[in-house]
Amino acid sequence: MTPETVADSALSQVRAAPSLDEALVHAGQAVVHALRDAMKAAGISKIEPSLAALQATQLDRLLARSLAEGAVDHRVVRRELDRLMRALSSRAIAAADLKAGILAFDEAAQRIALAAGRGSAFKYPTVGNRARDSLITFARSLHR
Amino acid sequence: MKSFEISRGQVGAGIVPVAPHAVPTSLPAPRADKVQLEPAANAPVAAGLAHTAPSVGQQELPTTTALDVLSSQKADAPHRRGRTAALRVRDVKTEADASTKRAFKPLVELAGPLQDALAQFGIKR
Repeated sequence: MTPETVADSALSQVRAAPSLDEALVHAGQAVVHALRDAMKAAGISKIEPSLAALQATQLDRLLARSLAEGAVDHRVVRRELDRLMRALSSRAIAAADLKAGILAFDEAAQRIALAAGRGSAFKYPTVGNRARDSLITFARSLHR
Repeated sequence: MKSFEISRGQVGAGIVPVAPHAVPTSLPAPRADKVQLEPAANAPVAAGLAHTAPSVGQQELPTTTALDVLSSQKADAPHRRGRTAALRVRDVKTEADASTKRAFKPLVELAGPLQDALAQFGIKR
């Protein structure tokens, strides 16, 4: 299957999804697939662990949603962090995986914003970004 | 009842309230009595002290304290040496080059179709 057909297939599943949650599942898969190709082309190392962490934390769905919205909404991040806290408390996910997922999200978002350039396609500044600050602060709180 | 009066209940309980205006003019001189310590039969002994516990004779020396014994045992805990390194958060801008920008262009191009597909759920720019 060619990359275009995989992405098209995922997008058609997004369109056919009955709910936003299910749509974001497929959207996240499309983004992960495109990310894999982009990271390989850029010569980035440790691709699979990074993408696995992104999917384990379901932050690929946040990335997909943010791409569609053109930016990472700090209110959406707040809700995601609440979800991740609950997952951590119930031991559904380990702190190390959570930290890795947040860092993978942050790096992917930075690279996409860099590629988008100064246009409005996707913005993710490293300064004055409430969403990013919340994510990194949370990751730091998990770091020992 | 005034505050400095003692009630029967207080006497029975051994409580003797100090009169609010009473100020001691002199303190009795401390008596340096020898204290013979006998370890209680059921007293828990810290594992670190057990093998270096002073003998009964040594307990009479005023300079030997539990703290001295503890500090004389140099803790060898390699796992506590050093501090955890700070979380490494990448600043991609400093590392990325033109090839990275080119490689990630398809993801930027994915934004439009994603927006179209998710618009039905109220997701918009």
